[in-house]
Amino acid sequence: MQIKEAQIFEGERITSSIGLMVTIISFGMLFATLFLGFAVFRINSPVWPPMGFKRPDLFYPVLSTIIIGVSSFFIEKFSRVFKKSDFFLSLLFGILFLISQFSLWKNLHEHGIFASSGIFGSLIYAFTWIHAGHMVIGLSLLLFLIPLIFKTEYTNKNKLKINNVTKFWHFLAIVWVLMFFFLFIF
Amino acid sequence: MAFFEQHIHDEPTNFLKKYIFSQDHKIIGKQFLWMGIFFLGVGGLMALMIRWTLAFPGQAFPVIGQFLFPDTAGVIPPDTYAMLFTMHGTIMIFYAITPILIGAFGNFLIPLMIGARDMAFPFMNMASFWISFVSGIVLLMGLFTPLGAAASGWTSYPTLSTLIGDPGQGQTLWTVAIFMLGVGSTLGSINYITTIITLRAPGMGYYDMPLSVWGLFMTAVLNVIFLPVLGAGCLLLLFDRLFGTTFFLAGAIATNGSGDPVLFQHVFWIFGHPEVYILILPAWGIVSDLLAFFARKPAFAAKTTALCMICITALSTLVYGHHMFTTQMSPLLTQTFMTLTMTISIPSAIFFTNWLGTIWKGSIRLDSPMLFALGVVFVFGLGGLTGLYLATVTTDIYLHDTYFVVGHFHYTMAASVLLGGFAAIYFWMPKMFGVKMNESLAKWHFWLSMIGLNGIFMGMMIVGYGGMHRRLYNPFVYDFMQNLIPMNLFITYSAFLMGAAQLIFVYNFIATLISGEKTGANPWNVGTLEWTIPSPAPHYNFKEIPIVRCGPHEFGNPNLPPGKDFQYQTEELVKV
Amino acid sequence: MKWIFYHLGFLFFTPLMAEEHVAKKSYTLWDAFHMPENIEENGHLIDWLFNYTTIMITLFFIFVVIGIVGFCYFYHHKRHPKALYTYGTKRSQIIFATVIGTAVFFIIDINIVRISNDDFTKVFLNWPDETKEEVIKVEVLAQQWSWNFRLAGKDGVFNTEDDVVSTNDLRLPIGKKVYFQVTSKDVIHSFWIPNARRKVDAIPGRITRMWMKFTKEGKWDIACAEMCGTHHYLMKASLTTYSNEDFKNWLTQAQNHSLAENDRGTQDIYWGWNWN
Repeated sequence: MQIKEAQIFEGERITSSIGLMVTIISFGMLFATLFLGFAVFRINSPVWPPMGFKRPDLFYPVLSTIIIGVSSFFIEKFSRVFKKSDFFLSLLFGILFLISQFSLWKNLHEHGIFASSGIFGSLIYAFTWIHAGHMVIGLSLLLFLIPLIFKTEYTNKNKLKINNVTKFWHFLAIVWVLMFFFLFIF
Repeated sequence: MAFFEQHIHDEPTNFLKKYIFSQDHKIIGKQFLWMGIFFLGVGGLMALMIRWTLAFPGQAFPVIGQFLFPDTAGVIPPDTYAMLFTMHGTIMIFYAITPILIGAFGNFLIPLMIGARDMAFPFMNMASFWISFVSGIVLLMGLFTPLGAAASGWTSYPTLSTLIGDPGQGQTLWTVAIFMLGVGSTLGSINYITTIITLRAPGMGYYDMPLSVWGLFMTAVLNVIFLPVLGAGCLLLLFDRLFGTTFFLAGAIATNGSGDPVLFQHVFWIFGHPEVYILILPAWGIVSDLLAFFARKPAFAAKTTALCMICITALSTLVYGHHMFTTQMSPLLTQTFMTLTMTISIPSAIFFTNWLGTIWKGSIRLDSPMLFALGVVFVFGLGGLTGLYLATVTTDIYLHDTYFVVGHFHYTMAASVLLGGFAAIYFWMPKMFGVKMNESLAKWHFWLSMIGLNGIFMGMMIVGYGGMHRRLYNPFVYDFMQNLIPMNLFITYSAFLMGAAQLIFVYNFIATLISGEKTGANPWNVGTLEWTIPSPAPHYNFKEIPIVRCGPHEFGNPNLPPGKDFQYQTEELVKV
Repeated sequence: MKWIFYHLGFLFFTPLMAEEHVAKKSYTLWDAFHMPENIEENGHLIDWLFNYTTIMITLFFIFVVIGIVGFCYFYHHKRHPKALYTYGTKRSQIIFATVIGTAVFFIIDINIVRISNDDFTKVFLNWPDETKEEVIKVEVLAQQWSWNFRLAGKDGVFNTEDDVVSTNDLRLPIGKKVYFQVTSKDVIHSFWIPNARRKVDAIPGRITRMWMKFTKEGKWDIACAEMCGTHHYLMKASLTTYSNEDFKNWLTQAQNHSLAENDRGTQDIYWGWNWN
């Protein structure tokens, strides 16, 4: 009986792994299209930033990158060791990331970069809004995991769910790192 | 080969859980079918209104005209006309074909044909339907806004689709609806891919799957990769409309930091070209199977057909530029797109040899699903071949945005997919509902539809050849089109015939559901896995997961005992 | 029953009567089967390639139809009760299919691509050279919902006050190369002259180009071939092609006209751009 259950679980694990991979490719294509648009605008513009804009202040982008990195670190640790505090730290840093995004937007406003400020502003805001939207999805997934977290023993199925959410979270972090590099530094 | 065996759950007893928020792929498939048929009717009515305006400009639309357009005494005004062709295109592509072929038949057939009890992710399946449904409501809401629904064509090129060209909320709602539908479709496709990879019954290799499943598999792959591209385009357009971003507003980038309208065209067609293959692949697969089933012999070179599907799937990603020849991309890019587009004709030609090879030396029974399948071969042959004119740059410069294009894509999308969809409905009716449709009504439906379809779309190609361009409210304004007026009338009459023929189908469908003859498990004597279980299929599909021992087209094997001309996939291949 | 027929008759016959009022000359169904008259020097290239493609695909399609109809007749189960059990994997069958596939590609596709490529690069993209021959330059500005045309005035420079500017009324000579630069003021339009077989999109924010050489005098339609809003169907302009003599006369008149009448104060007339 246990062997059969183990087999079923193994099958479910591979199935959800494939499903997750396909999902990440799909979400990745959305961001890839945004990067394509960015590339087209960047390549066709003789000077970047255009229109005499100055590059935004790097403080909040760097802060966001550090926060999301830390969040990723904690959730990865949680997915291996299953210490409850790691999960909540990751969740906390996820929320802090969104707060830092708001601060970033406020900071951009103070420097006169709005969504309606031509293509430069458009790109920064569109990317960060869409990424933030996906972070909200990620945070909702984390919230859905909370009832599981409080159980004393984690079944294999629960561990599988935690693993999947972790991978999705890492995906969002990697997308942010790429965005950070291309939008604010490159 | 299934990675795991799905449990048999009890059937839900709660009405909501059983019929509304069901996670059973068969119920979800039927929900998509109802949604698709409803929108097919709405889109069809819009088409009739368009044809009326083109044939009888200035005349009130009969019966419901006075009610819908009281301000103009029943005549369709020009801005409403723009909404009609926009919504017709959007509804037919995203809310009629996608739900019927991909949503309904994808959901219904995939687990049954591969020997699974349900999709890999039943909850996500249910979410996929409800998101699509809600997006349909959002789309229709556009019709009730003060400035009306979206009116910049289903392709919604900026800057017409930005606030410059279309300031109403209808266009914004359209963009939101398409985005939501993209999400729903993508979720569905993730499910299809995972299910096909992980839940095939033991013994079912990829090449033992029926070709219908192959078609749906390839469709899902394209969906998963390219719908997000459309999603990104829609989001950027939405931001342009709502938040003042300038992605698609025109201007020189360095001086006033504005965007590029043609970028939207690139993004749209990177999705748009695979989309047309998404729409036709299930029909190709279904036709390939049906031809074998009704010719009582194996599908000719079935493995090659599957490989051609993979090939076309890959090639379709490289050819999108042929929609943009008149925007003057660089000559090298233009020539590359032309050459690559031409290469698609190789796998397509091989499809045709395989289809003809299937019926060659068969023992053909001309039941209604077979008639429709042969109809698909005919109309897709015509439609696909006319694509050659449009792939060629120089002829495309004349034919772009004329009715020739409209005729071409309607032949390949409307006629082929519609006939394929009807073939599927007639064929799988017993498995879905336990009853079989009336054959003679079905034959009337087929012949009248064929006459209607060919009249409409051949007529369109002719007026397009004569120079009539698209999206015109009143073609009589132009001198060079005066000679095309009688043909326009002819097209409209064919359209009315086509519309009337569908009433036969509706009557047949409803009457069959109410009082049709009940069928046994396998009324068509076909060996794929869904026919090994009772009709209609029980909620758990298979009591015992079948073990697959031969291919899906085992017909006419000379070693079979007399009186039997096919084998179930679960039977060992009979040898001498 | 009678009610149905009465209303059906009403549906079908009234419009036929309406048709007579609208059409100036009465045409039959068969008059639809030809392209508009070709008035451009290289229009025949497109016509020829269209006809060549038609012949090629008709042959292939006849083959398919004969297959469908023939096989359904000869291999109907009443006539041919036992199907041939084959998977199409025999060598002969594979060779047959490969031959068809390659034949389609090399005889039809590559030929068409080669011809079209030559026409496209050597003719349509062979921009007129001002230093070698006289070129009539025209700037075209599309807007919702009309066409604006600009010819440089006597000074030969665009966007000066002596330019000949017109709305929906383009006049050009035959026998000389005409070079269009096209753009749009608001949404995407498409500058199309059906009788000359070619069109090019008018895109806001960029300039697209086309060149033509007309061969016949007369009055022709110009249409917009990209959905541009409610009155897209009304974006009709007229092209009048003159013989060289008549064109010179008209041009002189128009230039004098514009010099006398252009109000230098109005910004509106300076929609042109430096020819580039």
